[in-house]
Amino acid sequence: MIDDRNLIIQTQKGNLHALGLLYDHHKAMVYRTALAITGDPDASADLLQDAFLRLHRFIDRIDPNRPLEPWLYRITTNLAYTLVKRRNRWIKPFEDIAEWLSNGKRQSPDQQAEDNDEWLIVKKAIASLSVEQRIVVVLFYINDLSILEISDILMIPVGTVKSRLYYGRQALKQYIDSEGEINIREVHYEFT
Amino acid sequence: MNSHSSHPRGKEDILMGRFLKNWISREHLPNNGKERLLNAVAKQAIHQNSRLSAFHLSTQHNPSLDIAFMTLARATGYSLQTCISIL
Repeated sequence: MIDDRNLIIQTQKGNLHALGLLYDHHKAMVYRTALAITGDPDASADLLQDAFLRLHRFIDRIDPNRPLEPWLYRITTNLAYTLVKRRNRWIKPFEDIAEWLSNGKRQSPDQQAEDNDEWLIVKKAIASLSVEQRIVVVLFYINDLSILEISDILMIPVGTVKSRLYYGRQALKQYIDSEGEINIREVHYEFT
Repeated sequence: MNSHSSHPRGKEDILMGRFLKNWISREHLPNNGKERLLNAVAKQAIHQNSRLSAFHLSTQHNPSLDIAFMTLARATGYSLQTCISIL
């Protein structure tokens, strides 16, 4: 496998194939980070595109001797943050009205089954966090970044990262405990 | 990026991490993302008024000349004839 350093240099020389290989190397990380923050597969697919279009546009500013991941994490979290904030401002009021209008309706068996799905509960638990907490929780737990690395990527103090992580973790555990009988200890590790 | 040397995690953190990774790994990656990206780059290039650059990128992506023209046409929305005539 060609390393990122050579691929960045090749992309800087205009080699489109190298950009495609960088996309192959990092697409899962970018997409899953975006999806965990936004909860929206379509928006995350667009965000994945946008992140790599920006990489191509700003490739001359990228130092090939430094790791690419922090740059990609920064772009991904910035784009996801903007998307969630914009969506909350414009779409959430309409969703609230729709929910209020459908409040009296009984749920179908399919809807009940869906609501019992433990993964849906996890999705709701993540969505219940503020976007600032969500980003820190996702980078720490899903991307395995350290507090120091998160601080560098988000350009916020270490203390702020610790605080967001603490309150995010508490809220997450509380939500999962209250909403379903999910035993975190019984879930097997499948992430590749 | 390796976090473990600088920040050892407790058992609960490790379990929570596994749990959330397991959740997100069930989501499928989008199809045709690479094709879409490379076409978008070609489109971006032609919008920046560098048709030759766009064509150059298309030929890199598609070594066959006729496929390169077709890719360029698809990416830009121009007809095949237009793409051939402007280059």
